[in-house]
Amino acid sequence: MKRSSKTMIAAGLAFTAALQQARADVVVIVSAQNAAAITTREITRVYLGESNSMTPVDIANPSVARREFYTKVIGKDQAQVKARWSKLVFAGKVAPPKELPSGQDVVKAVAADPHAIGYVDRSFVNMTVKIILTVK
Amino acid sequence: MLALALCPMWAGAALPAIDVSGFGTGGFAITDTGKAEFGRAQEQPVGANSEGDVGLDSLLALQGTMHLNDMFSATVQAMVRRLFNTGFTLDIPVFFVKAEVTRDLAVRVGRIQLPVFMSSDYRQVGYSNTWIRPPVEVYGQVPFDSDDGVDILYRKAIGPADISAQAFYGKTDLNFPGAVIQSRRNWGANVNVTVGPLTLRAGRDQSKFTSSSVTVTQLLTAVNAAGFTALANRLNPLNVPFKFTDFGFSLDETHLTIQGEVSKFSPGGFVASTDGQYLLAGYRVGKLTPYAMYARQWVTSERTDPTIPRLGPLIPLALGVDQLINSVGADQHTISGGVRWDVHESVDLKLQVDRVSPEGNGLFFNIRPGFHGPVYVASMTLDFVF
Repeated sequence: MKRSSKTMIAAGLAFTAALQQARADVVVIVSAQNAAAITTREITRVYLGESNSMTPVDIANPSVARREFYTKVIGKDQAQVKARWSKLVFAGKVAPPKELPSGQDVVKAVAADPHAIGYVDRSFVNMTVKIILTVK
Repeated sequence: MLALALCPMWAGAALPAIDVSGFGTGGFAITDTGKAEFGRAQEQPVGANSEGDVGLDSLLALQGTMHLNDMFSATVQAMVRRLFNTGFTLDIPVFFVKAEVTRDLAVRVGRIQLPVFMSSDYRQVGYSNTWIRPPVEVYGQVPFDSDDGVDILYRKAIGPADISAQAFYGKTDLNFPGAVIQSRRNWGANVNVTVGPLTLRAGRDQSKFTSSSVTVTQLLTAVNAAGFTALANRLNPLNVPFKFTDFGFSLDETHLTIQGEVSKFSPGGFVASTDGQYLLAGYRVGKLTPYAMYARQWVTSERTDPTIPRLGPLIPLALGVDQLINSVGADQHTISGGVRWDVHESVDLKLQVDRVSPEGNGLFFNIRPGFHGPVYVASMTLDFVF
């Protein structure tokens, strides 16, 4: 009896997690130490390489969070974004966003740098970072 | 843009991280004339004609950046392309050490792209551009594309505007077959301001340049020997000024993309002064971006020199001088139409047709008798970045 209820809870949790995965509840995060108010327009400027006010961090492809973030927040497809960053990178002027393997790594990197900004699935968020935008 | 983890040998020691990335283009261009060749820049001695040409746009580049610490990095770019001769050549168009002094300010020492035009820094990166190649009427005005020296880069977000500025100082050496160009005391600056989808740019650069070639020296020696010393000195490209001013804008919306530049080139010696202009407009529909472009160049300096009287034995000399002052720069305009297809996140395929209308020989070269415009150029490229 005990065992089966545990299994059911685990199954329920897994189901919820799977649902969340499919809905990809993506949030934009900065370090908990960062007190600045940041607008969506500013996030876009940073991720397009126009503004250097923050240091953007990416999740390596393929990533549902990455696709959601670029489509819904930046409003450009990844080919356009790549074309823009290639201009800056091959001009030798600006380094491209660091690509980290997972949401956990993004949270860690953003927590460690008050200038950093990233996007992750909400399930990765902890006390070290602050949510500044929920991607809808 | 992948990171390379190097070296079993030094395992354990803190090794600098190296980013390796690259870009390339495979292209084919063909024109409807066998009596002249069409080029994209002065650095290529051969161009496309009715036999077709893969060397016009094809290139491959690899770039490595080593991050020494939080402040210093070193970047090298190696490129294989058609340059100064008929085949493909490997050269190093970019190598520098960069110091990020603050978040806003960086200093680079080494060889950088000479930032004369809005797209100078990435003109070879087909994937980053809507067009197949920069319009020769504008981007062909300046024969140099690199600078050996130092530059300062400044970036700052001020309210809704993102500012980036660059100032540089240095020199350039070019060895064309049959001609050597030295540009000294290159200096200049440019400012870009981006607000929303709109970017405005203003740039200026100048130097003193010297060009020596056997044919020019022979002609000027003859001019001098005939008693026209002042003319020979005036035409001699020895430590003469080189001034270039360029204004550009781009508007990059979700669907609409427009860009344009106006440029003014005022050199000394025999090299003609020219103005250039282009306007490009494209409209993204899903993965396809149809675009159209208009570009033109015209000569603003005198096209004939009246100093030598056109009399008897002096006629060939007078004609030689006129030929010389018309040898660089021309009146020409081009209407282009094309389409870019984003095949994949890092790969595009482009088709472009140009209708080039030269005045006389225009900017075409390796001319044979009977050449006349307009000339149609059809091109296809596959661009990629990695």
